[in-house]
Amino acid sequence: MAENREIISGESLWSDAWKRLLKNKLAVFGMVILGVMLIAVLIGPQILFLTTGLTADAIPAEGTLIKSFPPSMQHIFGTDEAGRDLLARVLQGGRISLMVGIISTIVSLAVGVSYGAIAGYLGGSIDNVMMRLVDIIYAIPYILIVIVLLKVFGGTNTAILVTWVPSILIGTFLLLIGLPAAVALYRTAGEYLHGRVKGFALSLTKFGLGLLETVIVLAIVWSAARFVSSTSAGDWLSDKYTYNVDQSLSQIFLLFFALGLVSWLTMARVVRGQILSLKNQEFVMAAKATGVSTFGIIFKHLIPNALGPVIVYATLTIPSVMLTEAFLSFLGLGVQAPYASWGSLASDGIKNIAIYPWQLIAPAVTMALTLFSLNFLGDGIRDALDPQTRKF
Amino acid sequence: MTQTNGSLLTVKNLRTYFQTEDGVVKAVDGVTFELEKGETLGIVGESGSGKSVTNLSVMRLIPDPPGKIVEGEIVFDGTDVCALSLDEMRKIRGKRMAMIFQDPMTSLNPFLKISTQLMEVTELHLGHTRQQAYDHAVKMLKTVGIPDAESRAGGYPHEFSGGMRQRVMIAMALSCDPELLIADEPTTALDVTIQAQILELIKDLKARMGTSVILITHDLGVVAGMTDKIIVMYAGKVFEQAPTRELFAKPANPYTKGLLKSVPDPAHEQGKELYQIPGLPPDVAHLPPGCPFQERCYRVEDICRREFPPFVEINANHHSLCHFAREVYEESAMPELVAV
Repeated sequence: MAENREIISGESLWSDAWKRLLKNKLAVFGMVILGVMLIAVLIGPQILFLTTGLTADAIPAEGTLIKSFPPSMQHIFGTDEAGRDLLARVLQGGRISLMVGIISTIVSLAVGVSYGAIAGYLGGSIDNVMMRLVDIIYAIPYILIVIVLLKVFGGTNTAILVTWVPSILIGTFLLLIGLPAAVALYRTAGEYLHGRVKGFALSLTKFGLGLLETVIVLAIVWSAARFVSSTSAGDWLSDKYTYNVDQSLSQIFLLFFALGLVSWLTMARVVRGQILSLKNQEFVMAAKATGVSTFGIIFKHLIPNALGPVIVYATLTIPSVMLTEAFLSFLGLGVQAPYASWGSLASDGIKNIAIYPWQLIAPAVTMALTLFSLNFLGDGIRDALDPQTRKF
Repeated sequence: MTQTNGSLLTVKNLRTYFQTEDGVVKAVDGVTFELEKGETLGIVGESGSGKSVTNLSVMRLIPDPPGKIVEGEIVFDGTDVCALSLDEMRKIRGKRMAMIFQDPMTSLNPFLKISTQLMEVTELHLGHTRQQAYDHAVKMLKTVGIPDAESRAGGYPHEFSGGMRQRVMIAMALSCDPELLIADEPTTALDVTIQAQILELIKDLKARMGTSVILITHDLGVVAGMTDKIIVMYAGKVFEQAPTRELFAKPANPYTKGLLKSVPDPAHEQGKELYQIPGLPPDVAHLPPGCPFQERCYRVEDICRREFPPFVEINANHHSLCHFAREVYEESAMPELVAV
């Protein structure tokens, strides 16, 4: 392993894995395709508009009765039923598709990693309760959850989501942060007073503090309940929302939310398993012995060690979420017009498959290429991070 | 801060039990000892004798559940450690008492740079800024004798050899200039030449920084040259406690004698069997009545099977847990009998 070379800065396990990844041809191919796809999707529509003047939703005002044109020099991917340029639409749709994949994966990473790490490290009954909750959500078919969420909160009902979610969040925040803070304050005050005040004065101050404590707790619980029930925070948001945000865009955000909600479960399990095997290692004990807090141990010492499988799983989550999104859009539940995703473009294209096949082929091939690349990359990262399991 | 008697750590009647499905495991059962400032204490015993649990109890690092300190008093520099909250305990760990672990291969975080791990300690306890902490880390690496410390600081644990890693662990433990250093078998995982270097380093740093050291080991050779006094533990109990010189010269406990005899002699005749204490350490969850060592003792008598032995005071510094402590002590004084 060690040639006679000068060690200037350390060779981390990451840079080691990176080198192994670069040796994997399929993974590099995937990375290149993915990079090209990302750039195309990010700046492609603008370039297309500047060079040809075509946009994703420009419907030609005049023209022939049939507006679907096959691929040509002017429309490289052809046009759709309404005469819109398919290349522009595929690029535009790619934005949504990739965004759904990436944002939902980030949501699932953030939630799943912290949840799994906390459950795994704390162990015992906390672990039990937390993981049973995951099992329960797991037991419900996830597509059902997503469809129900999209149906209940979708369309005009999205307003409910926008008002309820912030209120509930503020409420739980108050209960989770405010309450312990108040209790901690009371305790510190008690400890401070303990050595200084004596006899009757002590019991009096204790009574006073207790009273104050009760008032603070009641106030917090009351305001939390008020936030949850009357949506006093939400009203303002919902007004703003109804006037300024259009329904189709909110549907997309709903999609992020719904897919993120169901995709963190496996992540939590993966991380918990990793943490369980790591937490009894000596370096955790050593960290404890140097006085690192529980929070510090979980987030500074344990999670970086568990990150290998997490990254692998995350790269494989992106395509699976994108596929789910495409599936939902194909069914007409996901992205709504005028926005398009690869799924909804394919859904539009399938209607005319016998006459205008390019309308299906263009989004389908683009998507397949992206998904392949993501999967190759995911597999490559797994092999790079864990060279023992590589099979030839 | 400074006490009149100069005692840094007093452990009184410490009992740490583990609740298992097999019953209560009394890992540490009534351990008492005292450590003066600047002194080195050796704790010797077989695997499972409660050496490590004693020290984890001092650091309050016993995994709870299943473990629990059920009784006893641990006074560290005038403060009762057991009465401290977890937050207060965290402020002591790493700052005023530090620990070195047995296996340097696993006790450093493989994903973090050496410098990051060293910096964490001083950032946490001394409120260092990143730059201060980094400088301090490099300084500590130099102190423990890592060549080319500036460039090695950016390395990862897997780029260091076992001995170097143990040096890093020592640097980490001594970063905040602790008053007490607990070394839990610091040399067990290292080969002999490195062992000597590490022990020399601990000895040297101890003399320079005035740290008190508790050295846990099952290697009598290690404690002989390092410690001021020794505790011999067996089945969670202190079997003998004596100044190092006296313990080696005149052991007052059959178990200690057995341990001393088990050390291979370089002049040992080839082909002759090495001495070993017969039998295995008892299951601490199901101890027999009477002396825990009865099954393996060479001079066991009826009373040993019936009654738990008393903690006999041979002299002010020398105690032994045996019915026949005085007799064993007298025997040891006679050189011809020791040789047997």
